[in-house]
Amino acid sequence: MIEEDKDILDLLENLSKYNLLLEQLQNSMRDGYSNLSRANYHNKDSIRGRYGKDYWDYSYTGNKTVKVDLTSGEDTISIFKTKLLNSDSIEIKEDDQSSSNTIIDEKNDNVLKNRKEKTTSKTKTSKSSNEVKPVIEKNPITMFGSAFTIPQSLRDSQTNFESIIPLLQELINTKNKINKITNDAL
Amino acid sequence: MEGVYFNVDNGFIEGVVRGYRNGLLTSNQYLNLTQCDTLDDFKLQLSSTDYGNFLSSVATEGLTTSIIQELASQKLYQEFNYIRNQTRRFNKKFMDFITYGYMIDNVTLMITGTIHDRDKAEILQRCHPLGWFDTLPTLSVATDLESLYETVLVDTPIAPYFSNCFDNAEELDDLNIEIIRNKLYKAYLNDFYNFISSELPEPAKEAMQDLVVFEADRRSINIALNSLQSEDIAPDLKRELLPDLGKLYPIATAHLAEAQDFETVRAIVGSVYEYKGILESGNLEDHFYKYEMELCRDAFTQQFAVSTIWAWMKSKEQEVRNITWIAECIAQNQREKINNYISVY
Repeated sequence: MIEEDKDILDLLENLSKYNLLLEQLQNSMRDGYSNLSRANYHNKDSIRGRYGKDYWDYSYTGNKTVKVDLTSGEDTISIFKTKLLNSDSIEIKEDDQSSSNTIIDEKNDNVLKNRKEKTTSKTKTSKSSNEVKPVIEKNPITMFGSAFTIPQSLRDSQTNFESIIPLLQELINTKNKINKITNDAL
Repeated sequence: MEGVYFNVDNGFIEGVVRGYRNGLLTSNQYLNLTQCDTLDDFKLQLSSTDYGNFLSSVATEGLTTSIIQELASQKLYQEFNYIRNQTRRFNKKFMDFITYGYMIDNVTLMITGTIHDRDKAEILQRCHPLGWFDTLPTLSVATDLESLYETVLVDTPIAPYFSNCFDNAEELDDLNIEIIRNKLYKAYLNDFYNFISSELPEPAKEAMQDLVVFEADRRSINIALNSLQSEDIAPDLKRELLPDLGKLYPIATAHLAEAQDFETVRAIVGSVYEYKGILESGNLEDHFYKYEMELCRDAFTQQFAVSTIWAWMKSKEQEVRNITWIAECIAQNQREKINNYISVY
């Protein structure tokens, strides 16, 4: 097989793969939006608001990371779950002598606190220095109603949209391969 | 004898409500809507119903399902406020009770929006108009539940419902706010039920008791099912959240608090005749909506009863959900799912 035939076969293979991925993406998006519409139907509060940016938690920093690799010739990307760092933990500092007795939250100062409760708990925490609470991974669906009011259709919608992420990764990597093959041919 | 003096104060109101009820979309009208190809056709079909030209000010290019839902809801609020302005004595209190549920939603919405770093103006736009009270915007400035209560909520009609909520005021995150919301709603349902039982005459009392009892059971089943997905909810906490009334109370409710898997919840719910099979097939919320609409339709068979106001209100909300769903299916070209709406009239 000559080199050109190999390139053409690679190109055809990647185009076919791209087409298939695009079809899967379309199906997942269609199911996702359909389930989202159904979730709005099942949301008893939907008279005043639909599931969307109205519910977003602006303090949420996301749980996925995209890594772009430009070292290889094909410019690949990979999407993976963000590792939770220790510096994101909440620390209780010993030297807080203020009468308000607030807990310093490094990430978010808008957490509402019960100040009276802190005065009694401060004496207990002063014994252990710089006690660090474990960081709990937050499912983004909780910003739409936490534990009790999330309808199953919204969870299904989340599953549909989450299944798109590996598809997107493959689509972009395949597209970059196609671009490389065509650029090399030119 | 309930009909003898009812019309003195309430005849006009019941007449208006029954007029609104006759304007609810029928099965044939829904069929016509499902056959529309575009949202413009949909708008045209709706103009021949009680909705009239409510979309006349919206250009074809700007017509979206959100706008349809918003304007249909506004029509509902206007009609509700019109009825509310005509009421007096215990009927006024009854209409006020209907709004307390929305007030609870608005309070939790303001607190949640604050901890989510949302702008106050944005959150206020999302508040339910029927649950509005004058001091609602000030909820965004307080920093913990006790000060919220002392500065703002103590003067609201829902103040008595906060008596059991301060245990969860350590740190207001999404879960704790949701727990507080469910406790408030539990207290509200109890209060509403007591008001109905003591103040409303027959036959409104019987019809409203059935409707409020169903609401309590729906919340119990939803709490029991949704809490299975979270490990942070202990049986004691669940017991505090499950309403103290309904067909599931007290035996099934006590078992639901202890249930740890779906099969157990299904067996417990199936032990109550009215909810037998509700978890067997289909979507649970659809079953609830259908049952609620049947109760509302039956409420209209009683004359001289203010329960028709609640029944009309819930039927109208369901209608707005239905037309929004049909519009979404048209917009997304998902014709195979377009008939998944609830119509009982």
